[in-house]
Amino acid sequence: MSDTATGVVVAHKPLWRVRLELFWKSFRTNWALFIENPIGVVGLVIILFFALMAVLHPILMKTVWDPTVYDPITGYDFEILRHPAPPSWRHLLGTDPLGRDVLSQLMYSTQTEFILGVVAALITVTIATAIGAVSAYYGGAIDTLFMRIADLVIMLPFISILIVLSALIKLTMFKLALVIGVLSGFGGTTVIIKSQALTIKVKPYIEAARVAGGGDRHIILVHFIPNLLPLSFLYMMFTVTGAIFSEAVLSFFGLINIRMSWGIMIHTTQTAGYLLSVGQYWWLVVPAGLAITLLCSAFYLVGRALDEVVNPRLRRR
Amino acid sequence: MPEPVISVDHVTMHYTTRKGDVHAVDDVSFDLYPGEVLGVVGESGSGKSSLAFTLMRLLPENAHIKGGHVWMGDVDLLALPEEEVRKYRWKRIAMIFQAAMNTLNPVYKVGDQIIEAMETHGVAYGEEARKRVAELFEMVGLDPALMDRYPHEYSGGMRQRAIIAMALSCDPDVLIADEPTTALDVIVQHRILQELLKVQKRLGMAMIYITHDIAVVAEVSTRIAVMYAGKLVEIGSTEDIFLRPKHRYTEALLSAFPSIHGEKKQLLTIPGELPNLLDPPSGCRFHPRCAYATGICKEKEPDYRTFNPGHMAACWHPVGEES
Amino acid sequence: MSPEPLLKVDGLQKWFPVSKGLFKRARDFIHAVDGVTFTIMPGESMGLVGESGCGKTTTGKLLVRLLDPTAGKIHFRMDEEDAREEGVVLEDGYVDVATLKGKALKNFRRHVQMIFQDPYESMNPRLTIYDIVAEPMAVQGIGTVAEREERVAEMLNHVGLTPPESFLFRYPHELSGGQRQRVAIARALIINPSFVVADEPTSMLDVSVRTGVMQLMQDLAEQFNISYLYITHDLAVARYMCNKIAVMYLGKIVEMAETEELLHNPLHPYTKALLSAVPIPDPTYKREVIEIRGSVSTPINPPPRCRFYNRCPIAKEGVCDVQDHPPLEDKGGGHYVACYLV
Repeated sequence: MSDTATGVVVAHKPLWRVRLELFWKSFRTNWALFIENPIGVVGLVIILFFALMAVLHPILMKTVWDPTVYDPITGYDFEILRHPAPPSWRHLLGTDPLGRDVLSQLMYSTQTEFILGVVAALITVTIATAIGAVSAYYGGAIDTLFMRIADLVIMLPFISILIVLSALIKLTMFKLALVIGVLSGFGGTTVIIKSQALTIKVKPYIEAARVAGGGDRHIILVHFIPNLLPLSFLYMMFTVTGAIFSEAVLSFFGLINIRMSWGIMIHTTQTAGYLLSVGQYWWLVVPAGLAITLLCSAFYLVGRALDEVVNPRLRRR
Repeated sequence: MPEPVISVDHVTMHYTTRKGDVHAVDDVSFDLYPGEVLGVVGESGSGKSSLAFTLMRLLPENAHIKGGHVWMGDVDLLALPEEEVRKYRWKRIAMIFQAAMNTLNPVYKVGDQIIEAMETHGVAYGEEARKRVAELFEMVGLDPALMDRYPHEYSGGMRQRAIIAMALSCDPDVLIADEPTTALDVIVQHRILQELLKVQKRLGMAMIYITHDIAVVAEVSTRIAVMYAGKLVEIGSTEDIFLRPKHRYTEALLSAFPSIHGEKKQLLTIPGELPNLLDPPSGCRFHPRCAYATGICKEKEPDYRTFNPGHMAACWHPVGEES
Repeated sequence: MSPEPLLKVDGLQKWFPVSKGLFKRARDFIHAVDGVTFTIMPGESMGLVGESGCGKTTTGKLLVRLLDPTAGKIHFRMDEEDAREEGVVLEDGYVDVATLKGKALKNFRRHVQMIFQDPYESMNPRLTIYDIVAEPMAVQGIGTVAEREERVAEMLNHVGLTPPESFLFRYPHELSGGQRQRVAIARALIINPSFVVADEPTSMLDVSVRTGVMQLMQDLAEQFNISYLYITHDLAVARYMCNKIAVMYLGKIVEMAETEELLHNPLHPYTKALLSAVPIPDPTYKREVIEIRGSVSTPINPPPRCRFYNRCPIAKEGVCDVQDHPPLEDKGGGHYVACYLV
């Protein structure tokens, strides 16, 4: 039955190489689509700007900035009499009530914010995709269980839970990321992904996979998950926003056990009593507040732009 | 020959997409006479539905009419501004869409939807409108009591009849039916077709019946127009088309259609794929798949030739002229 | 010696419960497939025709075990060696597909495959053509990656998608409907099944493309000795693809005969009505239409009488409505009819 005509058809390229090339090609197409939307571009630029800040900080600390003065946590500028000091050439964004350079603090915290956001988002998306896929696939009791849990999570006020938790366990950045990730993972995102998974479940190609002999694991891993990933990735963006914002709130209340973050910056301002004098001491609040707003918005904007890449393609196909 | 009800005159319409211009309808001309049923036959991408939407001026934003006229009397429907077109749409020329079963609004009673159409076009109001709906329902074979039911209470066949009633409600001169029976079972399809023809005869409407199903068009239409890749390739009486096809595509299409009647004949396969309308083949659009194509078929678009009165085809090597 | 049937279906039933509540036991059932019996010989192609709701698609799904039968037997011929390898018990050379479970069921899937109706939806849009066609092999653990690539290329050649390299790593949306259906055929045949259920494989294709695919299926059936169950509502297509045709109505087979015999000499009133309603592509032919009243309903808890009774033009009170649905009987020469009045 086999004939020599097909003998040396596919000897030229190994399969993994082909898959890589295909992935790259599809990435480029998506990228072109993404770029068309100004919203996405703006968001991306802002994210890149902050990323640059995060990268620049250790470099500056090693080269231009004297650690005794500019260290974001322990620095103190003795040459200036009164702290908090307004912006000057020495301190572009001034100093905080404890004599530390505000710009340095801002840049240092960017690292932490990114890590927090991304870790929380990754955890959320992994959990939500797994649960969503399994719920949709098996239905019945498993589905009911997870959906009721999701209802509970959606219902309970997020920040309040975090505040209560912070009283029970000492929240470090990492633990916070974990908590946010797990909580969000069982909540709203799961329901959305599950409903998408349900549309996949009824597609004829799932029946085709079953007729070929595919079992539950094969169908979930090969058919459900890859078709859900674009949506998961999209919701990851929104989760980052939520994570950064939650941290800011908790830090403001002094409930988190970390040394420096944007929220802590505002917290410091508040405990030193300068919060109500924002007009006079704007550099104590505005940079940090603006940073939080901008980064959160940036991820949100990227998410919105991704939506247009993800959804019409799902529709078109 | 009586005056045509509609005269389609070299109509060309393209869709603009990010990949380029889709040549959906290309230089199509034909006349529609009162009281007749003109079948428009073609496969996907032939332009038959696009043509219908052009006639109804129901084109999406990315569609552009590149040329031609659609004469209804002295008026060119393509040249009219939107507010003027509304006076024609539904009142003079109505359409039944493909998969029309889903075009009924599920939250309103069926009768109310038809009444709304009539009131919007100033055809009838209130009590009189209700009476008309009852009459229309009877005409299409529906129990008038169903007027006050919701679409989900209707079966597929019943919904299709309701759609036909709605299209007829404003008493149009021309009815365009785009695949009205595709999703229906054969027995229901037969019944709907009978009702449609009965109504058409009774109201004296002209009908354009668009379909890919050659068998249906053989039974329903008096004249047939064959479309391929946006072009009208052949037009003639039903008998001419079936018994004396001239264009090679028409010939191939007829041979590729199985029938339960008569001798079991060998089915012909047409090689190749339907053409890409973004970049249609040069010359005659059918040439890449035609067994009789020669050099000229690739270079030059064939002119229309008249074979009998009313029977025209655009082919360099029509059936019967093998050289 | 006449060959043994490849497939023997006996009293196949599928009832769907009409659920009344979360915990209440269903008392009403939809008799989607209600006691269907037929045989298919090796290399034979049988058509299953009927209108929507008659149970033909459900029957097809039962044969490939996408659905589990409520009752009845599906006897599939298997040889001793395969049976031993797959851990299956044979009765007289046949395995009862209806009772297979777990590993045995998965192994059995090498023998029976399915071609689906929608060339657009029956393929995962994120997988390449290679992945799609190779899936049965991957799932059954057959061959190394290199061997699979070669086999896929081979199958693409067989279905006319040449040169195969240019199709292997494309995505479904880059192919036309006809090409996709050829891919579907390649996928169905890649692990050498002896029986394929084709569920309206050409109804969503354009006419000019349809005959090519039909021809392909016939050629491949001959080449690889495959039997088909060809499910369709289009009698004209069934005529060309099938050696014999069974007509279904509300979950039952009402008539079954060799194709030309059925078309030229229909005996059951439903078959006659159905045939008379099919439009003929010949303007000079005037068909005599047999009108039947009413429309197809959903068979929920059908009463014990002929299923066609309330629509039948020749129904006889006292005969057709007092006994259960007539049994399928051979009226001569392999022409089966289920009717009391024939």
